[in-house]
Amino acid sequence: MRAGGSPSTLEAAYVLRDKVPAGPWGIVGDGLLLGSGVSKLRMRFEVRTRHATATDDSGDQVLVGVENLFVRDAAKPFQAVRFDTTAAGVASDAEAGDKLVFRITALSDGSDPGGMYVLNGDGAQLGGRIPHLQLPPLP
Amino acid sequence: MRVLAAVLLTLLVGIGGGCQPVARNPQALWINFFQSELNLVLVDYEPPPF
Repeated sequence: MRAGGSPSTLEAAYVLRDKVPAGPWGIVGDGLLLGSGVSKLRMRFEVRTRHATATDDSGDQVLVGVENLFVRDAAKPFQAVRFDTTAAGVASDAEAGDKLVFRITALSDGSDPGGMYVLNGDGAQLGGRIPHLQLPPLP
Repeated sequence: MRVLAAVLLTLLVGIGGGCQPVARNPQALWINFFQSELNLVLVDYEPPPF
C-alpha cells in the first residue's frame, strides 16, 4: 500500500468466537519498503472490532493502535523490515460472530513520497515474520 | 417412575452440556493472503510463505 496513495489502507478480518478482554496485544508488522529512493515509511496498525452486520467502519471500536517508522536497510533493500511491539488494549463490546479487524495504514506524515509498504508474506525467507497478532489472554 | 426418568434425563443433558467444547478465540492470528496481496484474511494458524 502507498503512503497517501491508493490503497493507503488494508484490512484483514476474523470472525470472533468469544469476547475480547482488555489486556496486552502483541503486534508484529514486518514488511518490505519499495519505491525508488524510498528509505522510510510511517505505518499505523490498529485492532478493531466491527459488528457482524456492519457495512462500513463507522461503528468500529478501536481496541489498540500503534505507529512505527520503518527504515529501509540500504544494504538489504529487499529484505523485510522488522517491527513488533506490545500495547495495552481496551475490552471490546463485540460478541461471538462479530469481526476482529487488523487495519494497516500507510501514513503520509513522515514517509518518503511514493513509498510503498508490502506485508511480509514471505516470512523468514525475507528475514522477517509473517505479520500477526497475539490476543490478550482471557482473565 | 416418571420422576426417576426425568432425573436421569436431566443428568444426561447436564453431562452432555458439560462436554460441549467451549468456543474460544485463538491466542494468535496471522495475516494470510487470499488470492492477492490486497485481499487479506486473519487465520488461526501460521500460513506458509505466500
